[in-house]
Amino acid sequence: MSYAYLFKYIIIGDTGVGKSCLLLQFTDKRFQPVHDLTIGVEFGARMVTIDGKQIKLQIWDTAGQESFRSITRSYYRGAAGALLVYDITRRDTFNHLTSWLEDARQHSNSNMVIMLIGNKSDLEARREVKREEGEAFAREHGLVFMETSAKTAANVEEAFIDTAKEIYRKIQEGVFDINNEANGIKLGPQHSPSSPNSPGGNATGGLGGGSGCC
Amino acid sequence: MFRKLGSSGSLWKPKNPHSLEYLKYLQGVLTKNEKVTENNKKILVEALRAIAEILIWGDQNDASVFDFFLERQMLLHFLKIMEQGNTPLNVQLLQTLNILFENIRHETSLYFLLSNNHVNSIISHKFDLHNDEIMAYYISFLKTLSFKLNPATIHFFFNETTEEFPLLIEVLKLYNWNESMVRIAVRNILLNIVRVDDDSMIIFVTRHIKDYLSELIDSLVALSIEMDTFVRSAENVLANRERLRGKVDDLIDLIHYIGELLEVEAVAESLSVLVTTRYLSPLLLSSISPRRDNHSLLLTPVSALFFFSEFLLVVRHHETIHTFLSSFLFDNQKTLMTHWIRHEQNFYLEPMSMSSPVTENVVDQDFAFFDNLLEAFETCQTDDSRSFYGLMLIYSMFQNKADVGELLSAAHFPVLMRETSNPSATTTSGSLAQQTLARLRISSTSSITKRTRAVTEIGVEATEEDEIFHDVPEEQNMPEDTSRSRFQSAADELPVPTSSESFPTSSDLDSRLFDALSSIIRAVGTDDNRIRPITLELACLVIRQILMTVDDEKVHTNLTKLCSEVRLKLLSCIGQYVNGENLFLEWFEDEYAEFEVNHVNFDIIGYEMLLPPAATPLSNLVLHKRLPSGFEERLRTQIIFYLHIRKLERDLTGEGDTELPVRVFNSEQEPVAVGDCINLHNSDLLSCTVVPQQLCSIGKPGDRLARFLVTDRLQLILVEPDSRKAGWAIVRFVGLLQDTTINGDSADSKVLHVVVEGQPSRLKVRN
Repeated sequence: MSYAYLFKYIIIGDTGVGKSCLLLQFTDKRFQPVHDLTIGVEFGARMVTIDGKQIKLQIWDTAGQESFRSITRSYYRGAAGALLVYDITRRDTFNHLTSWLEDARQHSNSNMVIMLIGNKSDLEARREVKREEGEAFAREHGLVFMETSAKTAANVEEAFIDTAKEIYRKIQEGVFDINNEANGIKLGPQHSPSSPNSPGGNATGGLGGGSGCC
Repeated sequence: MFRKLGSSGSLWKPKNPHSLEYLKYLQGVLTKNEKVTENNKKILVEALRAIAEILIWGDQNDASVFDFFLERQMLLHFLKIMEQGNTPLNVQLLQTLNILFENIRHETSLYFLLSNNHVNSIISHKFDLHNDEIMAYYISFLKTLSFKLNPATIHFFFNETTEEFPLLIEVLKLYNWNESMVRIAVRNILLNIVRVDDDSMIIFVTRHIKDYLSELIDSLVALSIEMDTFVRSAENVLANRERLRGKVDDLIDLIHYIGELLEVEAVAESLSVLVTTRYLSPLLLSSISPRRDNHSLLLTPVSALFFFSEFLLVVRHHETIHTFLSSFLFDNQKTLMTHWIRHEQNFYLEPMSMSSPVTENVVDQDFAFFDNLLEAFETCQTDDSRSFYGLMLIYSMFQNKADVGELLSAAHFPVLMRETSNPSATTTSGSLAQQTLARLRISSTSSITKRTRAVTEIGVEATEEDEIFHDVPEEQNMPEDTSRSRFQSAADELPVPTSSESFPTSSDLDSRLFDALSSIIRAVGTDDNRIRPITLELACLVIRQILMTVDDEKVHTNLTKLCSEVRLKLLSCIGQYVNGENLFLEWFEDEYAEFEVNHVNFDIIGYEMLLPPAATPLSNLVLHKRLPSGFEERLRTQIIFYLHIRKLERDLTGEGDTELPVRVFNSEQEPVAVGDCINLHNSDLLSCTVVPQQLCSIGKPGDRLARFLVTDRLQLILVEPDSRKAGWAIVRFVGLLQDTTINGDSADSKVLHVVVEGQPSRLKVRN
């Protein structure tokens, strides 16, 4: 299926906060987290509809690249949106937010939309970071904030889609230069129904779409 | 619940999705649906997805799952599906593999997956990579695999006997892909590959990566040339700075990447030669020396100095940096054997003709590059761009982490750095020192005793530094005199020193360098100079770094004298407005707060000065990065100059600062605060009724409060008598008289309207 825009996201935050699980939960809901299995993935794509427009989201997890400055630097710059994730049951992951944010701000384009995510909201009993603290941090740094659970899927859709809405709004306002690929936004290909390379027309067929198999 | 699946109708789905039975069932689905059709596409996608899940479950709970997967060669099914080129299926297949390789925890499971060479067949499979979707999943797959590389797994990927390494070969094909995320992933994968410590693999890699490395350096050349062309023609407006920033970021990413590759032994040597012979020498050094050949492609000195400093700020590879820096510091133009030539849209590296008429006089001029650096300061009064980047170069030499201390000392760039314990490096700089001495460079001579003391101090410092940096890898066993292996050093004829006693100590300072730095200080004191405050700030920073090691009274005295002269000059300029200009104090405090709080980070801002100096606020640049426009900005700029020079002078004399920030009160007279109990003897009092007009600290509108006004030189104070102590009173309100406006009331002569502005506490707000 052709899309109007493609937005590239990155997910950042300490290891073990559940970045790759959030990603998989969003791009492929069929991995039911009910069984006691934690499964994650470092890349995923999914189509969403915003304002009647098909928008493709590509999400790149940056895990494991921290040792290469050249790589992290470049990743930041190629993204239109970033999900900055911490774990509400581990205070240290919250404490490291400032340095993540500094890095992101220094290397990204100034329009990048950053969403702050407090993950693992299902583990209320082990909570170490109050919701209000996350809210205050987000307010102070001008971020959108949400608590999510990759396990129960609570707010996962909203986190990714709200970020996309914000990027879309900025495009409408003319803030983003959509012709500059470095901004992490790509215009969709010219819709050509006769294209021989799009069998069935649905490139994301295997992902995200509601599947009735199980 | 059971449900029929597939075209055969003979498969029944077991209830428990996490069981060996379920995998058997899925295997059945794959077998029965070998040929992908419109009808079974969905079923297959779902089966592939479910396989990922059950394998992860098996990895953590039931070893027989992997046994079955292997036994039935299920990866072969994957390959067969792949060959049919159905996009959604291939996407799911790659994603299943990604999930598998990312989530399995047991090494044996990993080995199972990698055995039989199926993974290599998948890597080499000709996917439809021009489909964005497939490409993204494919490159993620390669990246995921590259994170699994280590000496134990490498032989699943690299076959020594057949000389096959599909992961490397395939990823090298993609380095120039038109999609940034793919290019970044390629770099990441290559870094992961070259870091694997395996001898036979390294031999293979060095052979196959040669062309890539060469193209990598050439892309650095191309990017630098492109940026230089842009800088020459673009105006200093926001849109252009944004574009420039994009280019600079690309360039710096590339330098970081090259720097990281240089840290890897497997590629360091060949890459170091390439970067030196294709970039550093023929492009950068050529551009900071007089032109020898009309055909040479040269950068503007400003761009060349900028790239040079960025390279030094990022790269720490010992050999590369030492070769480059010693050429820069000591060689003449004979060292330049090749140059870049433009032919239509392309660039070629060609040998430089030695007989060109232009060259006759200049090639033999010693220290050609170093002299060029000094030249950067000659024109600072009218155009400070070159001086700024000259300073930035000196700054980044000091910042470089490749043990360059001795090299710089030999060039009379005194700076306190970690002394190296590397014996071969000693030889190198010994000869360099000899070179310098041979040229009889005028240096500020210090007495022998002083010299010894300096050495001792440095020795002590070095030990401490050594402890701090103990985890920095030592570059051991460097081939002797590597600095000259690729450069024809002018000093080859010079005798090699026999002892290290002739080392100049770190307290030596090249007098011409000192003059060059002083010229900036001097220039800010002249009328109509076009120095931007940031240039002065950087100059002060560099001077401070140098002075930390220079143990020479004369240098200190001269500099202090210069600062004092310039400061007085500036003071006489701004002094005339202190009383005449209403907003003077406002502006001064503003700039002082800025001066105290905002220190420029030279590691990241460097590029903004590449474009021609902007001179209006319309350029959207803050004042200290541009030229002033109008009276206020000119005055503010002079205030900034004054603050910098004043600070430098105080640092030199060791004097503390008791005058700034501007305080209303001196140390004997403390200001009064609300709640204080004060003695009213000797004070004139005025009884009054206070009627607040709006809600404030004193009360709310409508109140009528009986207070006494206390006369004071600086404050407006309202008090209430203290009932417990006669002659004392409690302070209820204070305001600074300077913030107070008083107006009479036209209707009632006994009424005064008093407005006390809230104090904008700048320092607090900014902190």
